[in-house]
Amino acid sequence: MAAYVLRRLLGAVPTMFVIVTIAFFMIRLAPGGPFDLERPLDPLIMQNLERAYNFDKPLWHQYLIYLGNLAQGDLGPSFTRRDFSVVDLFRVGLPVSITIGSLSMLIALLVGTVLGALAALRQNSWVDYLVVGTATFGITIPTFVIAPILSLAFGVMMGWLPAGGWGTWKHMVLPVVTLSLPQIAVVARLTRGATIEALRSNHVRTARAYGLPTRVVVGVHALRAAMLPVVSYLGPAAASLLTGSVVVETIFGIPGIGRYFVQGALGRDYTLVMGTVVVIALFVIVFNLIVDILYAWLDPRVRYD
Amino acid sequence: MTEHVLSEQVEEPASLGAGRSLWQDAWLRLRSNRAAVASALVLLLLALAGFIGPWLVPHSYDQIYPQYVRVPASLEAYPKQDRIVPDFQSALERARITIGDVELSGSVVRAPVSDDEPLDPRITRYVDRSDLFDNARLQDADGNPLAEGASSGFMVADVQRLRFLFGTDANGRDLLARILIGIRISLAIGLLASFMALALGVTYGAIAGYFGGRIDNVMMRVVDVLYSLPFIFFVILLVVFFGRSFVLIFIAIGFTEWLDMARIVRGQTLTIKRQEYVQAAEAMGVSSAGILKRHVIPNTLGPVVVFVTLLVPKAILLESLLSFLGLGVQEPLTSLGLLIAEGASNMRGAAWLLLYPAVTLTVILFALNFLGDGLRDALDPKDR
Amino acid sequence: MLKSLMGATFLASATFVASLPMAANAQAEVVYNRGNDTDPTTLDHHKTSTVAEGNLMRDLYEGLVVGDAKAEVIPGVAESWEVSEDGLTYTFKLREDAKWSNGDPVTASDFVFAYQRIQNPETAAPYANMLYVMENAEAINKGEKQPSELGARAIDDRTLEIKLNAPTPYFLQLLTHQTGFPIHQKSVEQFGNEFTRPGNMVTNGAYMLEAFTPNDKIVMRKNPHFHDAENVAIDVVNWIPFEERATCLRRFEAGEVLSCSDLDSAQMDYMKEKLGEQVHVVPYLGTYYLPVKGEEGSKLKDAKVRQAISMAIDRDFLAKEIWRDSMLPGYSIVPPGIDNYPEPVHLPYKDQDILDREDEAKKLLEEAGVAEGSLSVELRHNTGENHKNTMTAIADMLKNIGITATIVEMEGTGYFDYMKNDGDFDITRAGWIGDYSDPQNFLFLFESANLGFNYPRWENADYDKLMTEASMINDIEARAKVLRQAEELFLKEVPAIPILYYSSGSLVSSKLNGWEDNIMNQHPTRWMSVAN
Repeated sequence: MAAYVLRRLLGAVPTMFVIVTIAFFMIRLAPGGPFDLERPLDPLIMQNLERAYNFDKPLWHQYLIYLGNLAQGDLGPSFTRRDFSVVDLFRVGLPVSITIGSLSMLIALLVGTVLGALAALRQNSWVDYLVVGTATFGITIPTFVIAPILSLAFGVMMGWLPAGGWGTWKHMVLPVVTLSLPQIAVVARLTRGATIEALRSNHVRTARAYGLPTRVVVGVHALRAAMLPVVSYLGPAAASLLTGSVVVETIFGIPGIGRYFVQGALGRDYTLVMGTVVVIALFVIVFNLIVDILYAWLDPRVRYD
Repeated sequence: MTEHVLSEQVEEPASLGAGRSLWQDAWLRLRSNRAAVASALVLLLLALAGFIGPWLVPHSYDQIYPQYVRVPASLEAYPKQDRIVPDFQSALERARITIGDVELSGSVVRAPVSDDEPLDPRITRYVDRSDLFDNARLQDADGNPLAEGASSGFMVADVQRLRFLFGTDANGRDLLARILIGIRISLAIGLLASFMALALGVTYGAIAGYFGGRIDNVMMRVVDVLYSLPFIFFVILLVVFFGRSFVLIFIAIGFTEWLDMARIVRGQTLTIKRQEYVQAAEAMGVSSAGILKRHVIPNTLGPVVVFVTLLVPKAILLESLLSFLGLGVQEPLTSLGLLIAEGASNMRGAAWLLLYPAVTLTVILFALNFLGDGLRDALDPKDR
Repeated sequence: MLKSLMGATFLASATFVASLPMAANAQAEVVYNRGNDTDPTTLDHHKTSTVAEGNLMRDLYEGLVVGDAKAEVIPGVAESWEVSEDGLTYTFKLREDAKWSNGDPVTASDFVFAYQRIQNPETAAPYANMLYVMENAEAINKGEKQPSELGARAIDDRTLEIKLNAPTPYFLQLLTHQTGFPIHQKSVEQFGNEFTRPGNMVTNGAYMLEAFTPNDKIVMRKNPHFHDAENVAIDVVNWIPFEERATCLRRFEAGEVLSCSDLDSAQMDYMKEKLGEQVHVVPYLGTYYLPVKGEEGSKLKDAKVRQAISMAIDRDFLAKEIWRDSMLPGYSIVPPGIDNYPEPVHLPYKDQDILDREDEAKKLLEEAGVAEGSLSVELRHNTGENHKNTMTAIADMLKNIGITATIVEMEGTGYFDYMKNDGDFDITRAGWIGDYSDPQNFLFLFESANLGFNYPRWENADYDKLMTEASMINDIEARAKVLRQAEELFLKEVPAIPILYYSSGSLVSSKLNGWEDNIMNQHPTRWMSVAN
């Protein structure tokens, strides 16, 4: 197992290299630069700025400088937030993003599997229809509609929770709920489908025939099988929570890293964009690895050696 | 115990290509699924509304009514009764002539007008320009056209009745017409993006899976790399490079969504490759391209079709995220996502701008999801 | 000596920081949660350029002169000043009790250091040209002269002399801009690029930096060494960036922020109804205009065609319906209410009815040889809901005079880059908010040498000559006359069509006292207080 993990991690190095290279040249070839603002700068001042940030060097040279710094864990200075290095920004933003991301993932898993299993056990009853209906609803409403509505309802009208901002646990409730709603929906649907399938499978039928109580059959045998598609969904979902929280971060005013990505790309903050790409790619790679390991644990047919 | 059952299950022959046609069978099952059939009908209706609707509604999606900016949804025709007289007055004031009392009878407004010099017949345009009135004319007291050179008479105009069932937007355009065009664009983006993902993903996945070995390794590594590049990054750069256009948006979405498809198809292909009929074909010397076309790709279509029905709503939602970020389709065209994004910023004070597009999108996505579920149940060979 | 002195300073600031939490507990602090447009690019004011950054800098620093609550110039660090007869030399007398937040006195050399630093090419200050009026400034910024040759000199610790290239009637106003603020030499030299970090940053304004969490807030605490500290009522300001104006509105309604720096025009009607007096819409020193360029040989190169287009634009509709009164109809490049500009000029058809204007426009088009329906133009704009709606409405208005218009939307940074690089366009949009209240700050946009702002690359020798002439005149009346001639010429040629004047919109809680509406939209926290 350890050897497998090591091999996967080593295999990730060339992947990362390719990603960094593609991203570097793509963002650099985009028209405009970090100093193209609504108020144009004097050409002379622009020159001074470009010199200060090495933009006057050829692109390949800048690329080598970037790679060199990256190898030492230095993601460079941010262009649009010049009081911070990109690493500084992540030091502040990443814990925030991970907190709301993992909380909403956890809630989605708990609520989603329970709802999905319930629906599966009562297939084609009103419980089932209700769960499937709400789940579908959860997927169909864009977060940029749900977020302001929740903020308005619970923050402004009822005043139970802060309408926005960051600081206490109260500030987390609405963003986490908003983020988890569509995830709950997906998890519930996946669990429902997989549970139905598992309930019909031979080994669950046999277990039932042996007279094991339904609770045990469902809890141990069916759910275990049903977790497979959920687990394989988790990998990409976890990564998308980091970038996908752009909307929630903007609307609730949360200092996570999701916004850096869009702010960085739109403001041509090259280093910030590159930094986000690197962090997200790392997340994807690590999460896919975790998912594969979980998979092997859940499904004995899958083996890595 | 469990182990034993499991291995038994694994050895079950895959039922792909069994006696009764998979598709016939699926069709029968799908037809008996009421939710799926209803969804298909709803989708068909909405698609028709999107494609034919814009010609049927009285307003064009890009027609601006300056007097009707942000009017709420209403079953009654505009203008509201209490607006007619003041608006007629203010239209006439612009002509700088003396105006008497305005009277309104039925749908005709009338006001005595006079001036120091002969009335210029062209002053009717001040009234005609208003969205509220139509067919403005100068008449004498008996209702005959005013003689040339007269310096007093009556300005008469018909009240133009316009219906905005869903209200109007911030520019004074009919929201219903915009929703219809939005349905067209959103469905088109969803379908085209999915089709693109389908074509790319199936070809790529089938080739990788069928040839296996090093080719497979390299091809899947490319997929891994692309997987780790975030979607928004791609799209922002594409928009920056090529400007915003309808084509670009579906290409951008299709280009990011084919990866899952490639993985699924590859997995399927790996299984199919080991089937006897494929091996038989190989033994008979059929070319690789031939085998891919005849045996491999057709047999992967089951799960692929299911996946596509789920991809269409995903593409539509992604498009709406782009619109929220200000990277949507170009005016005066619009999409449901763009309408919702605009509606969300007008949520208070003009709730109809959010409500109707959001309901429309929800209905579409609901229908697509149920249809997808139905298809999956119908195509799922395990239940046979 | 120097060494021990520095040690002492360190110790002082260290004990001070340690005592903060205790002071916080001792009595209830007055906290002001204040909405700002965005986060700053940097807190190094020499590298700032935006309105949002200006707001922060006015709290952190005090210039030689400052704006009061109404943005009128009053003494700041300088208690008095003299101007030489030719208007070229300013001598400032600094107040004795001016101190940095670590207790150091503010001296004339702090200003000299700051003014030299901003012109130093190595600083790469985006707004260095604001102070090009100082002698040798431009040459230093170009690297042709040494920073020490700048026309700013400390005669003694409390006397500062500044020499100008030309009499500049708005010079004092200019000094209220953040580029005119001093900088703490010791901390800049000690910490280099990191001097703006909380703990390192030393400022001389009413507030000092306590914390900066990007995308969350900037915390400023009252500076105990500030000379007017006893009259500063608010202890802590939390500056919160709001990219989404609707978000600020919600937090304002929830009582979480006391003011928002901008209004969401989409919700204008709602706000006016629900929030009443707390909605402030005030004329602002800014113009929204449409540069017109066209390809070589295009009909748009004809001033008559441009004038016709200008005539056909119903500015009242744009201001009232599209911008929901958050803008005013505009008929000149220099906005109303500006200083040093009596009897402003306008487009002649300002008060004419739109239908009559359309008739005249059609006549002009005919004279220019443009048949109805033969001209089609592209309306280009950068991403923005209101820009989009404005262009959509204008396209519809142009239809009325037989011009077909299509709209092209471009993503922001790409758009600015395109304009900077002399990209082709027919008609586009631009907006300019004045940095100081003087017509020169608007009319200079279209000098032919001003490649950055002059999007249409309009070149008119007479215009340039008038602008140069005006820059030499000391008498305000005489100068205004020349500037008026320049603007009249501009409005006749309309290389850019003025359509709207900006208003500044703010939400100000009724609990917040001391917020005075003003045309500069400047509201330093030091003049405000919070009612319980």
